[in-house]
Amino acid sequence: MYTITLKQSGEQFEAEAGETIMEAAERAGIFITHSCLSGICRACMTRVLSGTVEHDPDYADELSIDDFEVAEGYRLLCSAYARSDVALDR
Amino acid sequence: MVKVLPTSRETPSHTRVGDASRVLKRFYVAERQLMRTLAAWFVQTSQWDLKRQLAQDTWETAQRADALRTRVLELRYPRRDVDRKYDPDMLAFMAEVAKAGDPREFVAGVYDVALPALRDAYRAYLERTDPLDDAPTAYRLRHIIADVAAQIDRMRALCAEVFAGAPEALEAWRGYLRQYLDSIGGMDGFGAKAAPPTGHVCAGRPDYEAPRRTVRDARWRPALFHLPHENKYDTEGQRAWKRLEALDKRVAMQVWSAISHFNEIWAAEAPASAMWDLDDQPWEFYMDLARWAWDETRHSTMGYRVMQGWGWDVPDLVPWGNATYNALGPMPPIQRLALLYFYEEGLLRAGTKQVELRILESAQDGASAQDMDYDWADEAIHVSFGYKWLKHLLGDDKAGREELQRLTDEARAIMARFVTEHKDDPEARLAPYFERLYDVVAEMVYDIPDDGLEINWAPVVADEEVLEEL
Repeated sequence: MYTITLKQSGEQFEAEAGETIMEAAERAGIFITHSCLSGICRACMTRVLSGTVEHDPDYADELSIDDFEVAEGYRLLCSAYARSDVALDR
Repeated sequence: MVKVLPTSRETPSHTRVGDASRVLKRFYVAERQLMRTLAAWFVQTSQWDLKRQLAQDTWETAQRADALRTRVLELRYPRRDVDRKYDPDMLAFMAEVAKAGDPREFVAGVYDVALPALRDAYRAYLERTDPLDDAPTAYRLRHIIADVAAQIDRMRALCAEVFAGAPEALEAWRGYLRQYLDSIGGMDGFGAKAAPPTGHVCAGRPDYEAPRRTVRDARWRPALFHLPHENKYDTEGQRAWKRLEALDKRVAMQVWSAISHFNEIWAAEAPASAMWDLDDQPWEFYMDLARWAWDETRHSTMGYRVMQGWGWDVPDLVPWGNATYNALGPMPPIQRLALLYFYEEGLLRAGTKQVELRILESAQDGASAQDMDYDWADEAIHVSFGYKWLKHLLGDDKAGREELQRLTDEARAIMARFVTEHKDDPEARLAPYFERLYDVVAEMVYDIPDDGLEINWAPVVADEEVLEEL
């Protein structure tokens, strides 16, 4: 179980292993902008400020995010898992 | 001499795999070109009922082309050639179909000549082919024939409503296209070939080009914008809008949503015109853009349906603007797509659709909420189309992303300049619409229990950031 902190809103929630950050937020009743829930619409793209967030390896190559965006710390939260406590630019 | 058993059944000519793939490829080319032509004439057509039908038929035609193309590839046809080496006769015939003089002639050429000929050719193929050996084709063609027949029936019924009389000139156009089609051996190419009918009165027209400007249905007054927030200089229009907001933010959202949806037609025109302008893209590009154009036309129809459901005289009460497409029209097709992508991605990333949906639910407006829900799902797909194809067109690297940014910035500036250049045009004044609309809406509103939703929504000025810079 990892703690997800939304830096802009100050909200926090817990993410279990195997659930995406979006699923964890929804379970906690915290709204994060989203649309497709499949990593293709970029609505949930968010910069990771600290910690490790990994895109679902089963379909990481199919996501609508550029390599340079990933390198700059952006992730699609509907298709990504926390691998440590995480702070997000939201 | 050698010894053999007799064949167990007679097989007609032209039914082997090579014959099938060649004929089906020709059918695919016919449907592909028809799809692109329908898309371009969708942009060109102003009559609303006809226009939205052309958008639907564009997408349906794309589905048929895709089914045929898929089957061609199953018939030992080289993948590298399926989108090359198009039959030049079929390309020439479809280029003639596009050269109609007006929408009525275009519809006569497509729905009275090209599509019936395709339907008959599909039937002839089904009659000829072996239902066991070529079963996957037979399955697809049975559905394709039903689809084509439905398109023909629907458009003929619509034309009977929309157009009065049947000018003789139409028969000349139909006759020309029939002669031309005969000259290339018919849709399947099995007929005798001859020289094209160059001496016909309808021959020799210039190549068709998709329009760079659109005109709206003549039942509406000419209008550039549809909501006063598109034009920050229209203070009278904004004042008239504020009266609607004062009734209740929910009411304003219901009105905004319907008018905004109806005016999304420009977002259909942008991808549709790109389908014509760009003729050398991967097949999936056309599939996606046909869907994009049809979806946006569906959204436009959603808005129209809501307003009709309220009993409004829509042409009298609701502006139908053409500023956005007409500002975009002269841009290269990639830049039109870039601006559309910018707008749609921005809406999704801001969560605008979710906010709007929540307010419509709060208003207990089930119809508008359901429309918005599907619109939101569609827009997520569109962003993926824009992301994928702009990368394909501009390059999947940093230089490509920088070019996308440059094209987008330039397009936004062009759009903003268009607004400032036309801000005082009589067609830019929206106050009269919203003054008339206020009286109608104020008569309709009624009370429901307050669900306590805190509504911070305010109409977003179109590309406010750029407008602020001017």
